[in-house]
Amino acid sequence: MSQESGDAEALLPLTPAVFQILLALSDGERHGYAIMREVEASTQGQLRIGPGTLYRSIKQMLAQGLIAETEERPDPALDDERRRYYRLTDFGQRVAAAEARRLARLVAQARQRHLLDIPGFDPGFDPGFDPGFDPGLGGA
Amino acid sequence: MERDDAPSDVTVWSARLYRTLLLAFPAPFRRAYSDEMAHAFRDLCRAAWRTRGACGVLALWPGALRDLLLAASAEHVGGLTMLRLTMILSLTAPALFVLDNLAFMVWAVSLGDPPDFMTNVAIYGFIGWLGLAVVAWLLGAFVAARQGRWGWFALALCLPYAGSLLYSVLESIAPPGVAVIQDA
Repeated sequence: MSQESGDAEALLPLTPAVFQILLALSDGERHGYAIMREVEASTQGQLRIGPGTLYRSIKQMLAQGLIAETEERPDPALDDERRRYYRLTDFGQRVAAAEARRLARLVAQARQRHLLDIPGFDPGFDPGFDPGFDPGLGGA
Repeated sequence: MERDDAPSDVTVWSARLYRTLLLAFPAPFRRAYSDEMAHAFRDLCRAAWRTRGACGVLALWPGALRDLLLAASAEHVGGLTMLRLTMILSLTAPALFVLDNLAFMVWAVSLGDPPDFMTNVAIYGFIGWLGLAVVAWLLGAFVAARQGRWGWFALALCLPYAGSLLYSVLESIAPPGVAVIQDA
């Protein structure tokens, strides 16, 4: 059952696969294989989603109204017409943002407890920390 | 080393095998997604072939098998409602019972004197059937109470009795020697 009008927070926490799929679709429509490649590339190969996990997640996300199948093909001339493309819905965007905020709060808590100050610790990516971001921890 | 785009044997056979393994998924899921999944795996194989050759394609398989196993089992369990579970148990109980007794009968007819373990299998098979029938009945009662679907409940309840009826039929048509052995 679609929850398009529902509460985004109610679906949290998302599984890593679902969140990564939402992230992969956040900058445009993609087909299944392109989502797999994008997830692998954006996590530097740390997370690989197989077709089974991907399409189970897609089925669940379609039912929840997080993503939708798109009718228009980005470039029909360059692509196999049997491929199905998926896009993020407005609700999916809200859920992805809510999950990102939840994760940001967790990271902020870890930062407060100096877990990220360990010498030699390398998060493996540029966190792009925004000093103006308020994780909502009550000004601790 | 980059290879050309022409499909290799290992790529073609991997894609075919993967498509066959998709039979492990429930039919509705397969109808909706098997073409796309096969397509995606074929693309993975082609990319692996271009960069690492046959070794790259073969290296995809452990992860692909694990992914298929987990996704297919999760899809089956996810679609398993209590009502379906009840029906499966109700069908399994008499089916096991019939298989068990058929095996015993075949052995008895062909050899005349079944060994002890066959007799034990027949006895414990009967106990197992009875246990499953009770579990099915309890689950059926639970589901019926929750959902108010009395028709399905009655059917679930009747199936163990259908097994029992089948047993009577099998017993009546069994060769005399088998009856003597079972009575003994």
